[in-house]
Amino acid sequence: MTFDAHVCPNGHATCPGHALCPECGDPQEGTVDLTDRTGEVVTWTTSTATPPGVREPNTLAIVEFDVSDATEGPDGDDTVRAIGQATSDDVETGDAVEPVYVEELRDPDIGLHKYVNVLVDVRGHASRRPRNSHRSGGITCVRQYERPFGAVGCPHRQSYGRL
Amino acid sequence: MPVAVIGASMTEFGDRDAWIRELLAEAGVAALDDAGIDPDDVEHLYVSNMASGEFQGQTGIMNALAHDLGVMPAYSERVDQTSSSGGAGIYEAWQSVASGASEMTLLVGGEKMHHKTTAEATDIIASITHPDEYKHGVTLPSFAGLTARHYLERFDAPREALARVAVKNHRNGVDNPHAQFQKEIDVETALGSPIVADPLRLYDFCPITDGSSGLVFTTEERAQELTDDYAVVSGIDGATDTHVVHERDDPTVMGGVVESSRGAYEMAGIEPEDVDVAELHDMFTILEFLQMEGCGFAEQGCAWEQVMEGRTERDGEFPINTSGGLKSKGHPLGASGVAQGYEIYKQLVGEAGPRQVAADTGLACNVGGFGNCVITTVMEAR
Ligand SMILES: [Zn+2]
Repeated sequence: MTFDAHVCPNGHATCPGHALCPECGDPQEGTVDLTDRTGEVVTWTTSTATPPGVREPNTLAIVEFDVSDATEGPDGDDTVRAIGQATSDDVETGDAVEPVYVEELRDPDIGLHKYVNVLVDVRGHASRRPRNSHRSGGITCVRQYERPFGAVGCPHRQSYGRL
Repeated sequence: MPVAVIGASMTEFGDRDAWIRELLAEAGVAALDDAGIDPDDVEHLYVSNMASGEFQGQTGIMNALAHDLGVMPAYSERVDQTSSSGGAGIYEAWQSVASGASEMTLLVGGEKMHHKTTAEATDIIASITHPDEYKHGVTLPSFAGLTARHYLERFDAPREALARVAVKNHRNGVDNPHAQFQKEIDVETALGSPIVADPLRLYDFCPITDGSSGLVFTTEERAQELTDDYAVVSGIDGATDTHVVHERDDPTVMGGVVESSRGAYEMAGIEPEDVDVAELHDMFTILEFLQMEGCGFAEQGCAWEQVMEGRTERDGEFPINTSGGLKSKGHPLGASGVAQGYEIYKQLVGEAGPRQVAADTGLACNVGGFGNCVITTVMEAR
């Protein structure tokens, strides 16, 4: 699993990707790996009314990543946005955050989109990846950048019982 | 050709024992009765519904309703556009008459949801999201929380303004005998209610609701033969925004609202200031601001000022959600857009009872998903 933005030849970036670039209609042939980049919180919420199989409360953030170094063309996007679960409830707009890897985000046996977590199993490496690794962010969450990376693992996972 | 609305109905909204088939039939019978037409007159039947299969394991409900009303062999079709299925049904019904394909079209919207737990219902609705959103446990309420925080921080709007939307719509709902909640609340209650998606609290959200609503459409020529009081659909348009909500350039702009309202105004040949009364899709209080701004009733970031000044109260200069809105009326997904049409129609023909305001032109904005699909309808009294 990866955590990529998808980029068309005109430098338009989206995360997740689409069959054709929503901006210009060209195929999105390139990717930009976001796992080692730092993003900025655009807005966030702590949701208490969560569906079955999802942690409660669930703090979510929309995060903006600078990808200007990886997009070409005069019309290329400078930034791309992604959504993620925060590993801490202590989030503010404007915070610098970075992706971390977690094995599973919600119970694969509960919920309507069954295929979401099955994808992880298909790759077969999820359960063997070190818990604190952020190298593969196909399933991602964000956390406070200031905290020592990897020192506390992913609080999200720890607070999530069997998940 | 001009399309008229000649009848409307709405069942009691709330926690109903009736199943989807029965709810639809109840509104269908009442709509035919209100229009004074027979089942045999119906040439097209549209059923607005998001998820009868997911909620009740009942599919093919357009056929079920056609049989229960005895409108065979009329053409029948189920219309699903998530929360805007009702508005999409109005668009389909309008097209069927405007194109000449049908001279008499019955639209019934309905949803049966209340038998599910809040978590189950939330998950069914959340299944509209992109897998990359869904896997993080994103729900429609959490989109509302994300957007509300951005709006309040960016435009320096007071939190109380959102509570005022809830207070206003609850007050209007007191006079709606079909509403799920016919009870006033105050700002303190709204601001003190439990957090659902910070900064939004319980009273910023509409409830989970069972209910159904119907509308009858025909040509203006036929309407003139049948009745003295009718309304015409003078403008209507639908538009689609991104599936992935965080990909929108500006989180406070609902592109589908902007595009569909512009299209409806252009078709009707009017400007936003010509609208006398509006039903907006207040599934979450913040949506009332976003639609006021998207429909051109307020500048971006300024809608909250009109709410604080009382301009959108029933006795204000520009009443919004005289029905009580989704907030107090409830939100049976497929019914809501049709019920918006019911309120505007009743206001225009002077049958809104204690909720009546002076109006010749009304607008309904029905939002699917989190602004993913939007239908705006303009009706005018004749
Ligand atoms: Zn492009």
